Amino acid sequence: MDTTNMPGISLRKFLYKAIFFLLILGVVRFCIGWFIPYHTGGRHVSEKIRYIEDNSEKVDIIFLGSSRIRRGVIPNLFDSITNGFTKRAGISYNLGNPASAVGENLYLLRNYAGSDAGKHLKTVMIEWVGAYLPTPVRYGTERARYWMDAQSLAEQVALMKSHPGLTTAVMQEKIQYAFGAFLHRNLGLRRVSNVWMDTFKSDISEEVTKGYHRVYDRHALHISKKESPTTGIRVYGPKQAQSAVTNARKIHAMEHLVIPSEDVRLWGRLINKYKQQGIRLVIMIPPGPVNERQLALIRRLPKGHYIDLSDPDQYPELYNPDLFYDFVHLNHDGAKLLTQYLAEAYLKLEEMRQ
Amino acid sequence: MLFQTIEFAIFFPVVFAIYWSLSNRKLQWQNAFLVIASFFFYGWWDWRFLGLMIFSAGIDFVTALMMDRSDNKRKKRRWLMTSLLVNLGILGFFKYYNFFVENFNAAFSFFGKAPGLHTLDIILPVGISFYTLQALSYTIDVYNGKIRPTNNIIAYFGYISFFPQLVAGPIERAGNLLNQFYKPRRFDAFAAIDGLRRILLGLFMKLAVADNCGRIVDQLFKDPHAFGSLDLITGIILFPIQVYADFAGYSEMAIGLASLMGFKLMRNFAFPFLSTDIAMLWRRWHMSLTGWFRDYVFTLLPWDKKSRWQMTRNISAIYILSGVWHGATWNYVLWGILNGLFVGIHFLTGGTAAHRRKETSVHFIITTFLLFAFSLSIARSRDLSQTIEYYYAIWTNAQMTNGLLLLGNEWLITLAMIILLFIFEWKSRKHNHAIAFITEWKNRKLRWSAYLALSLIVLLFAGSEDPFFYFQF
Repeated sequence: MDTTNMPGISLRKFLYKAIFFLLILGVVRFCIGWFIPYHTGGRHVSEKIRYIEDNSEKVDIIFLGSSRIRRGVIPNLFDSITNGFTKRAGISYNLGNPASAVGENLYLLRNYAGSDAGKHLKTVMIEWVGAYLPTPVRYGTERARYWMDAQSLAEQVALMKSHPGLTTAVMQEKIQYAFGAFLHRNLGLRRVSNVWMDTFKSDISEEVTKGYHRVYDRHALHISKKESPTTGIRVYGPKQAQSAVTNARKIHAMEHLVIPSEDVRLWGRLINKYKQQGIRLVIMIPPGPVNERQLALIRRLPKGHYIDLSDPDQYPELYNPDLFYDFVHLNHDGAKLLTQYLAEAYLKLEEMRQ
Repeated sequence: MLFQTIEFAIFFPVVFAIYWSLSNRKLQWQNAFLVIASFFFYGWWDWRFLGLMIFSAGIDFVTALMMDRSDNKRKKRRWLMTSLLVNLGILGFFKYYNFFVENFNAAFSFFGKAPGLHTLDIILPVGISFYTLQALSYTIDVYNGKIRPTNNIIAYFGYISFFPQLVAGPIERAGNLLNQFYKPRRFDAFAAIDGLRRILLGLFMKLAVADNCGRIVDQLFKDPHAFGSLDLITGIILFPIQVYADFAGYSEMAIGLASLMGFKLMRNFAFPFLSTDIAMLWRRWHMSLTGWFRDYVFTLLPWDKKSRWQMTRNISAIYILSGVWHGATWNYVLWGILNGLFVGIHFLTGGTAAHRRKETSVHFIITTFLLFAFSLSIARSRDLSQTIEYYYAIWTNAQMTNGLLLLGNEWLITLAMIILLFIFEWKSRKHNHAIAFITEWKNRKLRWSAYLALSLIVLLFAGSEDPFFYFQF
C-alpha cells in the first residue's frame, strides 16, 4: 500500500526527518562553535580593532570589558585628565564589547598584545565581573562565553539569590538573557531578536573613531521597559537602588571571600606574562552589582594591578540612581564621573609605580 | 514578526501543529484557525493596523457581493468604484499624502504662493501595498466576471491575510489562492520537504547574501565621499543583488511556509539576473506585481495593436506606475521612467530578437544586469540630490584609495556568498528554485550534507540583522 500521501503517516515521517535534521545541525553547529573565535564575524569588535591597529602608535592604554565598560569609560576625558599629570602622550581606547565575557576579552588582549600593533601598549584595564574564567585554551571560542557553561549559569543563579531586593527582576533578566544568549550562540541562532543585541545594530562609526559613543543620556528611573538594553523590564527603582547598595556594602564588609585558587593563579600568571611584554594589566571592578568572587580576586592581587570602584562607601556618588541608565549601565553623566575616578585611580597607580 | 526571528521560530511550529491537528475536522475550523494565526502574525507589528486591514478587506468583501447581486452594469461599476476609492484612498493617504503635500507646497512656492499645507507624521502600515493590490484583484476579477464572489467570509479573510505572503507577497490572485481555501488540504510530504528547501534557500538569500551586501552598501551610500570610485561602483553592483536576495529570499520563504501548510503560491522570481535583456529581467522580477499591472492596468490602456509606438508608450506608463508603487519619492519615479525607457527602447528596436539569443550569452546577461543596477542605484538614495552626490563622488574620487577590498573577511564572505548564489541559480536555471538541482543527486547522504552545509553557512555567515527591504513598500 502506498502510504506516502496518507496524512498521519507522511506527516509523522516528515516531522521525524525534520527533527533529525535539526538535531544534526545543532550538534555540528555546537562542535564548530567550540573552535570558532567569537568575534570573527562581529562587525563591532573587528572595526574597533582595525581602528586601533591603524593607530597603534598612538594607543597606549586600552579598556577591555563588557557593555558596562563600553558605555562607562570616555577615553577623551580620561586622556585629558591623565596626560597633564604624567609624561604620557598617547591616547586611550575603549574596546568594551557588549555582552562579552572575560575569556573573550583575554582573547582579544592576547591577539592584540601579541601583534606588532600591540607593541606600543603600556596599560590594559580589564573589567572583572567575577563570572566564570575559562582556561586560556578556551579564550575566544564561543564556548568561552559565560552563559555557555552550566557551572557559570549556576553561579549566576547563586548571585541572584545573594541580591534579595532584586531577586525577581534579576532572575527574570538573567533567565531571559541566558536563554536568549544560549539560543543565539549555542544553537547558532544569530537572528534571535532580543533587546540585548540591539547595541550591535547601532551606528558605531563614532564609537570606532572616538572609542565612546554617547547614547545613554537619561537616568534609570526615566526609561521605559522597551528602552532598557539589558532587561526589557524596568528594574531600577529607588527600592532596588537601595538594595544594590546594601548588597555591595555587605559583600565589601565580608572578611572571608571565596574564589577558586586556580582563578587567582591564572590571573597571577597573566599579570606576569604581560609584565614581561611591558604591559601592565590592571583588573578593575566598575560600580553596580557586585559579587563575592570579584572582590575575592581583587584582595589577592598584587598592589598596582587592580582598581576597585565598586565600594559604595568609598564612592557613594557612583551608586546614585541618577547616574545609571538601567540596572547595570551608567548614563553619560555616570560615564563622566566613572572616567574621572578611573583616571584618578590610574594616576595613583602611576605614582605607586614610580 | 520577521521569518528569521526567534518569535517566528516559536510561532510557526505552534501554528503548524494546531493547523494539521485540525485537518480531521471541518475545513472551516482549519481556515478559521489560519485566519486567527494570520491576524496574530500581522497584529504582532502593530495591532492598530490590523483593524485597517480588516476594514479595507471587509469593504471589498461586501462590494464584491453587491456587484454580484446587481444586474445593472452601472450599479456594478459604482460598487467597483467604491472598492477602488476606499482601497486606493487608504493606500494614498498612508503612502503618498506627504509626498503630494511636499510637492504641492514646493510647486506653489515656486510661483510665490505658499499654501502652507502640513505634512503628517504617518507610519506606513506594513504590507499595505501588497494586501491592497491583492484585495483589489479580487473585486476587479468579480467585476469582470472572471470569478464568482465568495460569501465565505473566513475563506475570504484567509485569502487576504494568509500570513506567509501577507506583508511582502507574492501578490496572489483569488483564482489561485482563494480557491485553495475551499478544498480540504492533505499533508503532502513531498511538497512540505520542498517547502523546507525553499525556506532554507530563502534564509540563505536573506541572511547570508542580502544582509552581508547590505552592510557594505549602507556604508557606501551613507558617506560616498569617504570612498574611492571603485568602491562606489561596487556599491552600485551590490545593491541590486542585496534587493534581489532580500526580496526573492522572502518570497522563497513565503512559498516554502505555504507549502508546509498545504498551499501552493505563485512564483515571484525566476532568476532575473540570468536574463539576457531588460524586458526578460522584468518578466522574471517580482512576477506577481508585474503580472498584476499587466492584467489590471496595462490591458485597460488604449492601444492599437498594430502600433509598436503605442505599446511602448503603455509599457513605459506601467513602469512609471510601478516606480510610484515602490515609493513616494522622485527617485522611484525616475527609476520607473528609466526602466520604462529601457524596456521601451528594447521593444522599439525589435527586442524580441533577444529571445532568439542563446540563453548563455554572458555579455548580454552582464549588460542587462548593469543597466538594471544603474537604474536601481537611483532608487537607493534618500533623494535625488544624494543620487547626484553619489555619482559625483564616483567621478571625483578616482584617485582615492579603494578601501572596500581591504575590508578583508567581510568583503570576502560577501563575495563568496554572492558567487555561491549565482552558482546555485545557474545550476537550477531549468528548475523552479535555486537549490532544486540538489534533488537530482541520487546519493541521499550527499543531499543531506548539502542541506546541512547550506544551513551552517546561514548560521555562520549571516550578516547584520536588517528588516526585509520590501517591507517599506
